[in-house]
Amino acid sequence: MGVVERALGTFPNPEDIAFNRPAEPRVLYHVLFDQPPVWNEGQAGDTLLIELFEHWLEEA
Amino acid sequence: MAGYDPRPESVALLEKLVAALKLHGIVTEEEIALRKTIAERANPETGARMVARAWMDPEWREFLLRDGTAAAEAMGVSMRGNPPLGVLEDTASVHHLVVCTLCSCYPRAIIGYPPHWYKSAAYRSRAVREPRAVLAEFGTVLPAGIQVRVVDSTADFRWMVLPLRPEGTEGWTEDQLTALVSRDHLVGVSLPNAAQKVSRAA
Repeated sequence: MGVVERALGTFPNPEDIAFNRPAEPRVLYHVLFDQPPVWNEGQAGDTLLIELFEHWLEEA
Repeated sequence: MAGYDPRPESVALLEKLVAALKLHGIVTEEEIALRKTIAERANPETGARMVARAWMDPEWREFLLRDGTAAAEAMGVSMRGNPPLGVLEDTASVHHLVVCTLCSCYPRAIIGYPPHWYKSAAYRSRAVREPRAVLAEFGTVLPAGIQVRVVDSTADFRWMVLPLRPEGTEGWTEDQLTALVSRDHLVGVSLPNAAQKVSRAA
């Protein structure tokens, strides 16, 4: 489960860019995850900060 | 780039591609020359100076953290056509490490070309999974109590680390501080140190 840190702005949807289609603007967020649960290893407290588009997120 | 000789077949291929692009009016010689100038001018000293200023000037620091793109422009770097720049502030409890797991996203306008290891599959896969082991290989052992925050730089944004000002630099000038900051510090694989001036030999 991640936590939205902040909105980074609006960018063309990469799912459209990949197919050279006109790309809808989508809101991009910086989302923070605890690192150990992602890999089942690592040091408690360490985190991953990842850019994710709004339509890739589900309410936690 | 110094120390790197392209293979003759790569040069021949590039020449054919450029000729075709020119023939179809997609690029001009002038545009290529301009991009070359911009690429050659970009080097880590710009990023280093942005960091040194942030260590000296709280207002600049606030501006840099709020809008890295505008701060780069204020340094005289043209950010047109570049993705926005974000700046990650290290604190007494969090250290940032930047990676592009997809490929090689890197704030080239203010740091220059990424080093070979940044683009390697090993760095890209290991930085997100075992960041402390990667840091250790760069000789970086973080003080106890500091959490590692790995920042995956993807297609739309570029990230630079603002490290903590090293101890023992009180009263230093902007030039002296700039000389302490290297490309590796801006990526977050190592930490600036008052006893270590950076070599900028390309």
